[in-house]
Amino acid sequence: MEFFIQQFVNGLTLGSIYVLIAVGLTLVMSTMHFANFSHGQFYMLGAYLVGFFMNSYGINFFLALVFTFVITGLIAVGFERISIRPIRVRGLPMIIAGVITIGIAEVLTYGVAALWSADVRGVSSPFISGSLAIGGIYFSKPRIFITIFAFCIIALLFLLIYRTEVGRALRAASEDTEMSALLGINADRIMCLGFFLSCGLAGICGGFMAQILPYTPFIGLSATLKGFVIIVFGGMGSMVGAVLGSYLLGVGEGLLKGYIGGSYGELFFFGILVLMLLTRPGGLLGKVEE
Amino acid sequence: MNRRVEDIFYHLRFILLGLFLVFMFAIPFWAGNFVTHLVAVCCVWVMLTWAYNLLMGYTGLVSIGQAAFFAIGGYTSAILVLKCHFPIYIGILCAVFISGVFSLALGIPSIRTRGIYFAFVTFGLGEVTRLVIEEWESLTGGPFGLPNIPPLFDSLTLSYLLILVLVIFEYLIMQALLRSHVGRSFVSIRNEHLAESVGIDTSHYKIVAFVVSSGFCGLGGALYVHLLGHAYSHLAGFMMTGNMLIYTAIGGAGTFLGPCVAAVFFTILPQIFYPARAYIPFIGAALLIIMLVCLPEGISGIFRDVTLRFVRFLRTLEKSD
Amino acid sequence: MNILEVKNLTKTFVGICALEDVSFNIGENSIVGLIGPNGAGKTTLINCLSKFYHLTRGKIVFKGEDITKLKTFQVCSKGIVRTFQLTSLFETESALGNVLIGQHIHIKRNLWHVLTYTNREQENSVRNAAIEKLEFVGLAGFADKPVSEISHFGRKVLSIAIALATQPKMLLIDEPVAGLDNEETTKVLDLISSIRASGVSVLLIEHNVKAIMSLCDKVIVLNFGRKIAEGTPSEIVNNKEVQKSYLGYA
Repeated sequence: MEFFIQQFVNGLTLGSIYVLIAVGLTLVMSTMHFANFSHGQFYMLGAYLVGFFMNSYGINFFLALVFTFVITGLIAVGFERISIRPIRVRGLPMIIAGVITIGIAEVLTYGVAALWSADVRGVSSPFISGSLAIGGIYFSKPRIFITIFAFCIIALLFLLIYRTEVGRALRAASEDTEMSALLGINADRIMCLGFFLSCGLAGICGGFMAQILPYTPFIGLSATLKGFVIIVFGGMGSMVGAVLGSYLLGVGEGLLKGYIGGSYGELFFFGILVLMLLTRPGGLLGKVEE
Repeated sequence: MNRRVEDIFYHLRFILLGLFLVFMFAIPFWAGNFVTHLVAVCCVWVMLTWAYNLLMGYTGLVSIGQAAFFAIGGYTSAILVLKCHFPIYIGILCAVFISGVFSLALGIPSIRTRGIYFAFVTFGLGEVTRLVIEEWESLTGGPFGLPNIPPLFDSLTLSYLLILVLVIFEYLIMQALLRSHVGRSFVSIRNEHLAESVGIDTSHYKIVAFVVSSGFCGLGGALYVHLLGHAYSHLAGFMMTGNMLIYTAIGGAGTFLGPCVAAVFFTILPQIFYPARAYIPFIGAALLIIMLVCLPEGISGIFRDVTLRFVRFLRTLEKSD
Repeated sequence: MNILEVKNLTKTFVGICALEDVSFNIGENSIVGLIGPNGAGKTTLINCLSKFYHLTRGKIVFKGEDITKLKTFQVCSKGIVRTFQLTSLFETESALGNVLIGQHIHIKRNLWHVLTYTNREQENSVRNAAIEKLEFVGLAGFADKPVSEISHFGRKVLSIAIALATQPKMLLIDEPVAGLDNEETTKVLDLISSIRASGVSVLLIEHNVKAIMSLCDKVIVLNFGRKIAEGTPSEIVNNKEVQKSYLGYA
């Protein structure tokens, strides 16, 4: 029983990490109408940047997260301006943008590998360590901390999206880009902001992950894949679905890892993907389409 | 007057093609083992790139995990030959068959739903295949792979010639398909609503394209592992699919010559610039982005534009006679 | 003899009833006009008839056969083809290429002949038939032109050529003269006349009064998803309800 609770809580931690990834991915898919296959690479970049700031400059964790958020976001926007925006402006099918992100993914992966070497990096300069005992069961403090912090960030994001002008503009642009342009919303800038937020979030997420798991330049793929599966599972276009899906699948993976072990995480997610396609392609909360 | 120029080009193309084929068949007889082996590897990559091109360049379906079939084909042949002691040609036939079956099984649920799901499923497939290969040690030898895979023939010359013949075979099959109603149906997939309104079952043809493409990837995989002598899990990896994608896009999706040239160029490049070979993938990816934004028709587009200008120039010369 | 019978056709989307209880018949060799204010459900009706949408309720009988449950691509082989309001073409192909694709259902699809390169003869006859279709719509010299170089008018008649390549018994045309000048409009209307003369029935969505008056044997009027009138063009023009729905007063 204790084991179950521990694995369950581990799953919640995983879910928290996935939430930051999945919500960003949904944001980009709904406002910009393309799939960002390099999303996981921004997550990976975040891990390296946070490590870099903390180790090379002795900056504290929170400040490092802020720097990482900004820098990751800016790099993302840089790529978007030079490669994705021209596609959108020329009216070409957005699948080309998706293909471009595959190129971006490889550039980032090899760029990071060149700058920082491809070795596995462990958890360096942990922010919090040790474990906490609750009711006789031991929980790892970093994981609890991450779970709570991620939840706060998501709450902040939802506040931004549902209670501010900017958020309203984002939602309008995702519902109907043409109409919102007619209403004076600068679609271009809003999309830029959306992309900045999305990849910045992924970067922060990577920073969190680096506190509890080892990482290499190649962890991006797995993250992107899981992100997409979560979106399909929760329902494309639904932020709430992304949140729900993240925690549900995170817990599922946590339990699976605890009881069966091995690197079957990806297999689990892939199985969910195929299952969803066979039974309910709209996902749990997705919009029903003709 | 204009006809003269066109006739010259028409006959020139056949002469060049003939010379080129003679050259390719003669390679093992004058070049050393190293070069023959390298050209054989190039041929396999051309086979893969054309298979990928069929999917992306004609139907517009972007698969981000075709390398999974490359690996499935390779491992099928390797396992059958090494562990079950089947003859190599059976291994290869089974490789193609198994790749086809897998793609059919996967294609049916993912193609009937929205296009983006196909990209997701193939994306997952590549990674999952790689992981399954790494985990299932008893069958696949785990992360270290399967060494000591016997070559196609004892003589490198014969192995090379077989690969060359199979690449030509692939070309003939694809050209036959693409110049018929099948090819037109593939192209029609780009405007699904219109295609359906004129009676084309787009789901059916998407699956056909996917299975044919995957079958040839499987064939390429089988040939590759026998050429290399070694099979490893990263044959299914993102890098491999990335390569196919890059060669197709840079060469010009929807054409044959461009992707062929790109495949050969990128396969040979790491051998020429050996010390910098780790940077080649980075350059390829950067080039992909640049090409898609600035020169979406790739090398073929450049070649066509240059030829067009040259022909116009020749015509102006003719007129001033 | 009715070529098409539509019975109690109803189509609802989530929360919106786009078509309600629409019933009508179309006789052989006739041209029927479908009019109504924007948003009345005209294109939705065509989408239902060509099975781009599932019907919520109702029945469609074509040449005596119930086609209500068919899949989209199966409708064409029964003899119905439609065009799109926003002219839809295969942008990467030439004009001839577009029509060739349209001939798909009439090609003897033999894989063996394809793979052994023995289908030359069939390909040639298919090509000639495609050129004939281009000539019929007046695009004779445009066969090898890429679609991007064809004018708006050319694109509209090309989409009709593609539809004709399927050798239909019934053609559902959605606003064929939108955006055309007087001369071009006349050409398209003449084209539709000759299509009817060749034995094809036509259901025509149009706003252009001249088109409706000159061409149609019968006119059906939709408003807010309901059929509000059916009759000859002159009856419809004098119908009070129709005047009210279009002009706001009778």
